[in-house]
This record gives sequence, structure tokens and C-alpha cells, in this order.
Amino acid sequence: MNTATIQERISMATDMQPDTKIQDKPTAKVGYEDRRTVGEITVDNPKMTCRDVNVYYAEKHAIKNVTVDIGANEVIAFIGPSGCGKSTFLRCLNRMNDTIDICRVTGQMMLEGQDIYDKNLDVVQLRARVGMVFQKPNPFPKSIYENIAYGPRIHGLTNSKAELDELVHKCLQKAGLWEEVKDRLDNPGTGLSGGQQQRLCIARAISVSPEVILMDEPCSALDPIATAKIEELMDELRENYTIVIVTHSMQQAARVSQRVAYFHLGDLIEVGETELIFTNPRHKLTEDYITGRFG
Amino acid sequence: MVSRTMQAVMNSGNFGGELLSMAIGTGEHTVKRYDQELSQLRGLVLEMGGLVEEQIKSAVKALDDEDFKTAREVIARDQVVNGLEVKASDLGISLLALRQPAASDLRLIISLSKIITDLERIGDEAEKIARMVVHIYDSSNSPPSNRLFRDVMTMAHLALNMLHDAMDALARQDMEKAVEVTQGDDELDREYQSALRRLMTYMMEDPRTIGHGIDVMFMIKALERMGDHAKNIAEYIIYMVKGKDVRHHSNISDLTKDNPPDKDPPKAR
Repeated sequence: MNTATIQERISMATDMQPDTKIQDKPTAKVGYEDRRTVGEITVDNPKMTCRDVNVYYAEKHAIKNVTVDIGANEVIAFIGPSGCGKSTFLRCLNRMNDTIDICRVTGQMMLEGQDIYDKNLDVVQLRARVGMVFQKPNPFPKSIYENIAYGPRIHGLTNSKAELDELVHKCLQKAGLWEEVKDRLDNPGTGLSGGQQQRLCIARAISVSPEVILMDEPCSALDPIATAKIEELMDELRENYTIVIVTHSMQQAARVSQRVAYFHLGDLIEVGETELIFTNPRHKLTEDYITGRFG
Repeated sequence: MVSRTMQAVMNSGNFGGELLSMAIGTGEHTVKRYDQELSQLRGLVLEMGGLVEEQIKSAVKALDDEDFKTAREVIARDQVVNGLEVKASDLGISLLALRQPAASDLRLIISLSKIITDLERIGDEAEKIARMVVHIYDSSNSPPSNRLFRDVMTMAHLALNMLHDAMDALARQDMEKAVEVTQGDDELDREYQSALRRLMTYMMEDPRTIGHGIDVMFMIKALERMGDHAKNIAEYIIYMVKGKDVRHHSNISDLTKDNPPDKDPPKAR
């Protein structure tokens, strides 16, 4: 008979005791006028640390004194209304803003203790360590195989064709795309569906073994099923990578992330565990945004 | 001793309108229909609370007036309470399904959905009392002596106060008041214990009172249960306002403090 003994049932029940961690968090509310960051900006095991980061586009102060940690192997979601600076901040994490002449970044951003704005740092190397996936899938106008093989080849990550084949296989498999494309690796990447293209871009991003993957609205051009596949993929990738995602969909942030950072008009208003942010945020601004009261 | 809040709300015919708009969330939702549905749900729950209060009052008054007709009405009216529960629960589920509520809205909907269960149970307890009244007065038995009922009146008063305060706390999002309600349950429990002792003494003194004594025992048990349900309601209100689950804790007023003891707010390293 396949029934649990009473002892087993008891232990099952004790395993399901409510998590008291959330209960012990402070709950004092913070009003609109206070724009200092509330919540847990630091983590025990940070991958990237950002201290007093300010970003200016010419005269415009786009990011104001943002201090936050990005934990290793976590999915952290940046949310906030349009123009709040979440994408700007994301793009600072692999110096994508360098290409904008009027953009100026101050403060400190570290990847594993190394200053990423150090003058001697090779930006190309940085972007191999901090990869990026964009809103609109942007595969190279090359074959599916070449899309993946390109990065490892220019970075000299493989020594032979066989090794490269193996890597392409591995990346496509990790991105959950292998079964769908294994018979047509020589077809153009642009011929895939939107969701497949996006997963191809994720496979391309992980082909150079990054430590952090930045995702800027990776699902906004995708249908719900393709979105679900990407979200599932993010959960799997979390084991090996740190993921920072900017999303307009609060439900998506709730589904995929472990921590959430809420930006508003350039300020980082609140950071915290996703569960806490979505059940009991401390800042009034976060509350208004999460509940759909934002004007 | 009609709940003034409830009366005002019921008279205005607009449950939860002005009274509640000030409460949860300061602004309105971008989607107006969402606001309307939320306030409709609050209104239903307040309406249900008001009705349940009336049920208890009528049941106890029927006992006092030896009026089994009123008691029969109370029994029949329990269907209305049940109907309100179903309606509010349906609305709660559709809000969850269609609006994906978060934060305070989520806590509000979940709490209200739980509150209606306790309200419905309180309604059932009121109905039980009414059935006892019918049993006592709608029979050929000789009417019991009044001293048996004294404790029922005292306890009914306490239970009604608890429910009234709980509904008031709900309408005003008043956490302090909700904490008070949870503390009031102790007094009702003590009252129940001493009422039980007195009842036992009466029954030992005069075995002819045993029949009615047992009826009274069921009534005070019902009232004691009402207190427990009112306490539950108050705990849901605390969760709704504060986001803290205070169930199954002995010291609720400590738990409702803003910061957990011995912990500093997080600082940057």
C-alpha cells in the first residue's frame, strides 16, 4: 500500500510551516515625499555592486544616487513607469551607454569586485561577461549555427570545429531551442518565429559564458506561449547565471524574479524580495504602481 | 445599540462608498471599474456584517421577549446571510481572476473572502440561538425561570460589541481597534466559563431546570463561538492593514509594531 505513515504525514505537514522570514521584515510604511531607497539593497552574495550611481544625459539627471546589489544566481527585475530610468540603469551594467556621447555616469559599479568603469578595462571583455538580450529579437543575418558560433570564435573560446559544434549544441539546448532547429542549423536565424529568434538571442548571449545576462523587455514582442518558454528558461538559467530583467509586465516580474527593484523618476524607490513587494510593499509609490493606481 | 456605522452605511444605500474610499490605497486605480468592484465587495461584506449583527440582536431579543415568532424570522433570514456570503465570495474570485490584484488590494480581497466565512458562521450561531428560543417557548413546557438567561444577555452584549467593533475596524481600516477586538475575546471566554459554572450550580440545586439549562448551555456556547469568529475577523483586518499574519500568536499588540524587535533597518554596506 502506497500510503504515508502518520509520521510521514506529520513531517510533511511540518515541512509546510509558513515561512516566517517574511513575517519578521519591517512593515512601517514610507510616504510619497521620502525618496530614499527602502528595503534590502544589499545581499549576502553579490555578483555586482552599484554604489551612488548617477547618470546624466547632458543636463538631464536620469539616475539619482542609486545604490543596490545584484545577487549571484538571482533573477532581479527592474520595474517602474516609462522614463523611470530602469533601462538606463540596466544599460549601465555593461556600459551600453558608452556609445551615447552626452551620457555621463558617476559612482561605482563593480562586477565581482572589479570596477567596470575602470579606464583599463576592456569593454569587449566586459560585455562577454555581462551579456544582453534586447526587446526585439536581433539575430545576425546569418545561419542559426553562425549566430551562436560567432561570439566564441572571435573570443577564441574553442580550439576545433568539433568543440565549436559541441558548444553550439549545448547553447541551443540550454536555450530550449535545440529540438526545434537541429535539422536546419544552416537556415538563416531570421527565418525563425519571434519566440524562437528570442531564444536564439539568449543562446547567443550564453555562448560566450557570461556571468550576468541583462534582459531588456525580452518578452514584450512575444505571444504568451513563447513568453512562458522564455520565463521557464530564465528559471533554469538562474542556476548558472545572474539575470537582470527590465519588464513592463508586473505579473512577469512577479513570476520570474526573486528580487524586485522599483524605479521612479530616476530614484530607486524600493528593493526587496518579490513576494514581499507584491504582498506588502513599504513605499507608497511602490504600492500605487503595483496595485495599478499610478497616474 | 444598533451599530451606528452600519446603520449610516445601510441608510445611505451606498455601502463602502465614502466611508471606505479614505481607507485602503490613497489614490484611485487607473481602471475605474476595478475601484467599483472593490468597493462593491467591501459593501457586500459590510452589509453582511450589519445583517449578522441584527440577527444576533433579534435572536437575543426574542429570548428576552419570549417571542418565538421573531426567532422563526431569524432562522429564515439566515438564508439571506448565506446568499450574501455566496455573492461576496463569487465577486472575490472574479476579482482575483480578472484583475490580478497585488499588495494592499490582494490583502483586501483575501481578507474579505475570509471574513465572510466567519460572518457566515456567526450567522449560523445566531440561528442556533433562535432555534433554542423556539424550542423553549414554542412548546407546552413550562417557561423557565429568568435567572437562567441572565448570563446569555451579558455574553450576547459582549459578543455583539466585539462584532460591532470588528466591523467598525473594517470600515475604518482601524488596526488599533482590531487589536482591541482580539483582546476582548479573553473577557468573553472568562464570562463563558463562569456562566457555565453558575449554570451547573442551578442544575444541581434543582434538577427540574436541567432541560432548559441544557438549552442555555448551547446558547452561551454559541455566543462564545461568535467571539472566536469576531477575533478571527479582527486578525484578518490586521493582516489587511498591516500585512502581518497575527494568527495563533499570544501577543498580538507586540506583533503589530512596525519593526521587529532587535533588528535594525537595512543599511548599505
